[in-house]
Amino acid sequence: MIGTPPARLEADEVGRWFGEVMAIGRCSLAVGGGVIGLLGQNGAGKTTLFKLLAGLITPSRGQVRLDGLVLRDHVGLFRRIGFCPESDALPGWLTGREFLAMLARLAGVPRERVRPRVAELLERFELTAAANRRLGGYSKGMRQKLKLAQAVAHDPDILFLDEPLNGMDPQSRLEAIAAIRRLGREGRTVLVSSHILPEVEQMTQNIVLIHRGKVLAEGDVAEIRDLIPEHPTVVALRCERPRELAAFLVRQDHVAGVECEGRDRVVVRTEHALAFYRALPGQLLAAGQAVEEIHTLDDNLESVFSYLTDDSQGGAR
Amino acid sequence: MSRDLPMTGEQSGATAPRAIPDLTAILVVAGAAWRELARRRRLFSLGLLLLLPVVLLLAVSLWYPGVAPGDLLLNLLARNVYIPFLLPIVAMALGAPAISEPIAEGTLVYFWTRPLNRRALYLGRLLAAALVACGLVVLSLAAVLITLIAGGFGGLSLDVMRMYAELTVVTLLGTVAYTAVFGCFGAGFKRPLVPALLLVFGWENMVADIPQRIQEWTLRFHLRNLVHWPDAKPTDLRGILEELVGRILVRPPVPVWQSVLILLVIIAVSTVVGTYLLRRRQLDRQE
Repeated sequence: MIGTPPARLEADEVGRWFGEVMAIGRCSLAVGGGVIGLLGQNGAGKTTLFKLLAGLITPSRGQVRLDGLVLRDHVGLFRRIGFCPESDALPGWLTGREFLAMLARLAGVPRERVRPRVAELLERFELTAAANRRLGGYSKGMRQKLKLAQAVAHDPDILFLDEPLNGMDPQSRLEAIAAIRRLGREGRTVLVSSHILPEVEQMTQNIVLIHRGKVLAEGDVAEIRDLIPEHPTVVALRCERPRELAAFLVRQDHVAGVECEGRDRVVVRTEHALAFYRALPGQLLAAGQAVEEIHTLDDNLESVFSYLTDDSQGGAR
Repeated sequence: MSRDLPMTGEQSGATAPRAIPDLTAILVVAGAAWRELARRRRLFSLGLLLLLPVVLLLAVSLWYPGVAPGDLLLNLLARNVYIPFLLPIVAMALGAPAISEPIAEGTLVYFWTRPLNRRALYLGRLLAAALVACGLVVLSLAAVLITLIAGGFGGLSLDVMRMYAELTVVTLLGTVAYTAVFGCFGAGFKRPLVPALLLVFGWENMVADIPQRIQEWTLRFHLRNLVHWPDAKPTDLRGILEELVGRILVRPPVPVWQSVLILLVIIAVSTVVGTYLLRRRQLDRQE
C-alpha cells in the first residue's frame, strides 16, 4: 500500500429515508488516506451512513463514489473494500477457518493463496486455537476479531469498521487500536465508527461527528474534545471476579465510585473519563483480571452534541 | 479531509476492478452453503421423514403380502406420497431458507461486500439447496428400491425398473422445481414459508382434485402427468373412479413434453425472478 495513492471516497449530498424517517440528511464527505473516526451516539445514523458509503444501500439522494466510480454500479470495486459490520451475526454452522477461506476466495484471493492467508490471519488475530470450531460457539470478543480478520483478508485499501472494539477485552482493544493505526499509516483509508470519543482518539486525530443523521462537525479530535465539559461517566465492566476487580479499582486514581452488579459486572463511576480510559488497560493488567466487555452506560458525547446542536437555542453551531 | 469533489471516474478514465467470475463465485458460495446445510439438524429430520415411503411399503408387505405389484406401488408412491407431500416439504425446508435465512440472520452483508454479482450468490445458494434436496430424495428412493427387492414384491421386473427410473426422474425434477419456486419466495418475502405453505397445501391441494384445466396451474399436476399408469389398471375404488371421471369429462391429456417444458420454464422463471429480487434487495436498518 505504501507508495500508492490512497483510495478517495466521496459522498456528494447523500441522503437516505426509510419511509417517513430520515436516517441520513444531506451529507457530503470526501476522505482519502489515514484513519477517520465517525463519531455519534447510538441511533445517530453511523451504521446507515456506513452502509451508504459502502454501497450496501442506495441513497435516496446524492451519490457515493470511490475514486470517481459509483460503487453500486461497479461490483468489482469491492475488491478494494473491507467491511466489518456492527452486527455480531455470523454463519454459526461454519468454522472460523472455513468462514475466512470462503470470504477470502470471494474477495479475489487466488485459490493457492487462500490457505496460507487464512493461517496468517488466524495467527494475527489469535484465533488459531479456535480455527476449527464452529462460529456458533465463539465468544463476543472472538467474533469481533474474526469480523476484523475477514475485513482485511484480501488486503483492501479502504476499510469500513463499524464499532470494531465492541465486546473486546482490554488487551485485544489495545491490539486492535494499534492494528487500525498501522493500517492508516500504510496509506489505507480506514473509516471507524464509535460512540466512545476516547477510544477513537487513540486511533486518529481526524473525526467526523454525526448527530441525528447529519454531519455536525469534522476535523481535529483535540478541538472536539475540548468541547467536552468534565462530568461523571459510568462504565460497566464484565469479568469473572467482579468483587476482586471492584476492590482493586476503588483504590485507583480517577475512580469516584465502584459497585458490583449481578455475578459478573462491575460499574465504575469516574469524574475524568479520558484519564480513566487511558489508565484502564494498565490497571486491568496489574490486577490480573480478564475483562470480557467494557461499555459506557452514559455517553460523554452527549454534552458535545448538546453544545454543537445547541438545542436549547434552536440552531446548530 | 476536504469537501472538494473532483471529476468522476468515468470522466477521468478510471476503470473498476473486475468482479469475481460467476462460476467461481457460484462454486465457492455453493460449497459453503453445502457445508452449512449438511450440519443443520433439519437434515436429520428430513432424512427421517423421507423414510415414510419405506414404512408404507413395509406396511403393505406385512398386511397385504403379494397383493400389489412393485410397479403399481411405485406409481402410487409417486402420485400420493412423493409429489404431493415429500417433495414440497423437502424443498420448503431447504429452498425457502436458502436466501431468506442469511437475510434474517444478518450474514448476507459478508457476501454483499465481496466483488461478486448477486446472481452468483443467489445461484450458489440455490444450487446447494437443490443438490442437498436431491441427495436426500435419491437416498429415499434407494431405500425404497432396497425395500422393494427385499420385501417380496415380485422382484425387479422390467416394468418395476422402468417405473423406478421414471419415479427417479420425476422426483428429481419436482425437487428442483419446488426448490426453485421456494428459493424465489425466500428472496421476495420475509417469511417465505407462509406463501410456500399456502401454495402447496392451499392452492395445489384445493385444485388438484378438480377435474378441469385449472389443475394445470399446479406443479403437482405436471409432475403427476409425467408418471404413467402401469398397464394393469388399479382395481381399487379410487382408480376406477379416476378413470370414470376422466372418461366422462373427456379431458384431452396434456402431452408429457408439455409438462416437462412447463416445469423447466417454472424453474427458469423462478430463478430469474429470485435473482432480480435479490439484486433489488437492500439491507434495511435491522440488517
